[in-house]
Amino acid sequence: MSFFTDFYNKVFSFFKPQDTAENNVKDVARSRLKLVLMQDRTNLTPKILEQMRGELIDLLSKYVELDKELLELNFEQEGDQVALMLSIPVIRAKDEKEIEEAIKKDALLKGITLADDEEDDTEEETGTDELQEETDKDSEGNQDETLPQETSEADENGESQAEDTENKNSDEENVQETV
Amino acid sequence: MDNGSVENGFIVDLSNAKNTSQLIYELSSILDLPEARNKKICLKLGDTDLNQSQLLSIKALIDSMQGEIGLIDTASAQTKAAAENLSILVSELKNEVEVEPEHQATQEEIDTVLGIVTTVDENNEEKQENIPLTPIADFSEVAEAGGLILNGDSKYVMMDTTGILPDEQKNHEENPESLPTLYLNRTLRSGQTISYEGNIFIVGDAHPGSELIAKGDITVWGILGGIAHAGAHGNVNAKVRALKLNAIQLRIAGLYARRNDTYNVPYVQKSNEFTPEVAVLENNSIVIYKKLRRDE
Amino acid sequence: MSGRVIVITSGKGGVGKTTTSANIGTALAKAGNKVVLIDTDIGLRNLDLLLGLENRIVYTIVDVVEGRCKLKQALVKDKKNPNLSLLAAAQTRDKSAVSEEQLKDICEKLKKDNDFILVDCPAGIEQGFQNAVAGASEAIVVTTPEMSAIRDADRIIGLLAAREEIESYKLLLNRVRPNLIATNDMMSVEDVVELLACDLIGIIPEDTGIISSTNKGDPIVNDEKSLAGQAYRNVARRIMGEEVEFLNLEEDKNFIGKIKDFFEKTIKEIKAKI
Repeated sequence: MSFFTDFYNKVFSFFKPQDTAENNVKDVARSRLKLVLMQDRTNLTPKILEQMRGELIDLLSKYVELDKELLELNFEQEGDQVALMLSIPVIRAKDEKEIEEAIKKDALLKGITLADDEEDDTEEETGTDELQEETDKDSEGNQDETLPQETSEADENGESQAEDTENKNSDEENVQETV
Repeated sequence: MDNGSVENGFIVDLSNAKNTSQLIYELSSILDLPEARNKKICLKLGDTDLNQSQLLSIKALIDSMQGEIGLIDTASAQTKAAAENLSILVSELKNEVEVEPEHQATQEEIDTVLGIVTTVDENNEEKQENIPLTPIADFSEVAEAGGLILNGDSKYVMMDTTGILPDEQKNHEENPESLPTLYLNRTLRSGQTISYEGNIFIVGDAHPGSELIAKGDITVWGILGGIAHAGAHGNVNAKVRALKLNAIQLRIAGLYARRNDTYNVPYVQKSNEFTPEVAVLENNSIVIYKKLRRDE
Repeated sequence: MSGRVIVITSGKGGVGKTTTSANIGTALAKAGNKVVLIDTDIGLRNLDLLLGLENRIVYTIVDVVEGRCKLKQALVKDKKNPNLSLLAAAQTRDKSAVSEEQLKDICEKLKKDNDFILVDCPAGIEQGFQNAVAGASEAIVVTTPEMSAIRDADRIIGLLAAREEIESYKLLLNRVRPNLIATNDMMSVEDVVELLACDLIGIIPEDTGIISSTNKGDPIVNDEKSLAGQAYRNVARRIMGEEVEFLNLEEDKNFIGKIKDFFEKTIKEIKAKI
């Protein structure tokens, strides 16, 4: 049998088609299944994933200029661990002034709600990202985040960062109400 | 048949025929059955008077249908004489019909039927023991003994239920006519159970997977494919009848019989021909008779 | 002796749980083990049909649970192998007739006198499934190499992994068609194992002989010539601890057959190019 395949390969090698994903039924099935299984395991529907993607883009755009088209948000499996992988090409980092303005603008848009205690989440996230940004500023390439880590850091750093934010803005704008 | 038993016999009861033509008509339709082929026909002619030529034409009819006259039973002197002239064996039939006094079955007799032995031990307590059942694999013995038509193939095998069934069942006789009857005009499907303290009569089929449990008789005007338990409280007189008896399990009082594995009916074969059968308790076993006799 | 209680489940219906239970049970019994098969699909029982024992059932698991008979009375011995017994499901009730506690109790009782208790699980993840896994300490997840089956199997594996009592679970890949795998129309064994991240205990090829074995009520492990039968026998050996190589499922084709395959594959590739 192998003699035939060798012969075939030699003579018709220039005819050999690229086994593209569309042609290969089993690969289509595999990739579909992979996605479906990840979703099932982590309880996230495509709709929620889209929403998360959008919010992450808005959030990160405050600190770095992103190429939104090329942003990838995926689940990866290593053994039986599932991780959320975020891949964002960064065009350039923003300087401090730009970041401040972006944060202010964001606060304006959210306006009254920032005053609520319940909105601590937003503040915490902001704080976390600032910390992350500082550590990752060197790598101007892709930035990988893992979701579990994010939430744990938020708990630690949220409070201190929130205070800083408040101090920064209290002089300039009276929109923010003190907590 | 009182005198003489016939090997490979087939009895045709024509004693109720009103005239000769009806007799011949009934005879020909019975001879049409596959079971009647190549058998020695025993004719029960009752009171009917037949002369020699009539008897000769009957003989010719039987011969043409691949049968053979074994012997005849007749109460008529004329028929008897004609038969003797034609060298046809005649069996003696008394003119008087003996009416047996109504027999109240004793508990002992009932127990014999069911294979139970009652002993009284020192403390004057009754103890019942089961005689182990002997499966009747071959019903032809019963056929020869009683001369009744039966299923030739061993479609059913008795199940050994020692140690399985509850001991509290009191075996008794009961006349099904004294019980109420449930009449159902539908087909039972798998998973459906009908349980009734009386007789059950179903116009329709009972599919495999269904259960019929009756204190009295069970009659299915259709194909019985599921489990049928007649005399569920211990009535040894109970019977199971169906136009086609294909039950997965037949149970009468405390005796259980299951359809034999080698009898390959994967599912119920619906056919336009029905072969009515009745299952009764007899000789420590469940026995199936084809209902060709008008009396039971 | 304390027997091993293994539940055979899948999530998806029709992938071959009952066939697998009947065959593994028969193979284990043939190898000398005392085996009890329990059908927990109450209301839609099938295990008795596959073993050809449907005529012999007097008492079912519901009768045991409701006290109408003793457990021993409800066990039906196999036609051919006295080592094998069946505890049949009831056809006239439904899955609410038995509780998890009751099933667990039955498994505990049977463990004392038997080497293996195989629990045939119904499809789904509701009461039937909950009952079936209640007494088990090991599981075999049956799936076929197709999308919906794999997805459901994944869910089941998740549920099994969350149960402390289940110490191990293994995958059984059923109805594998090597010729479809070769032409990339069906996912390969490696693909499925990778997706589900579960150890493999058996690969059973698609075999038309299964149909007649079901019709006759004679499990296919009794057929020496069948490839599927051999595969099931190997699974039984692996369960008993033996290391058995997975069968080469490529059918032994003659030369003409191989040429035919080769040309079919070539034509397909050329068509794709065009």
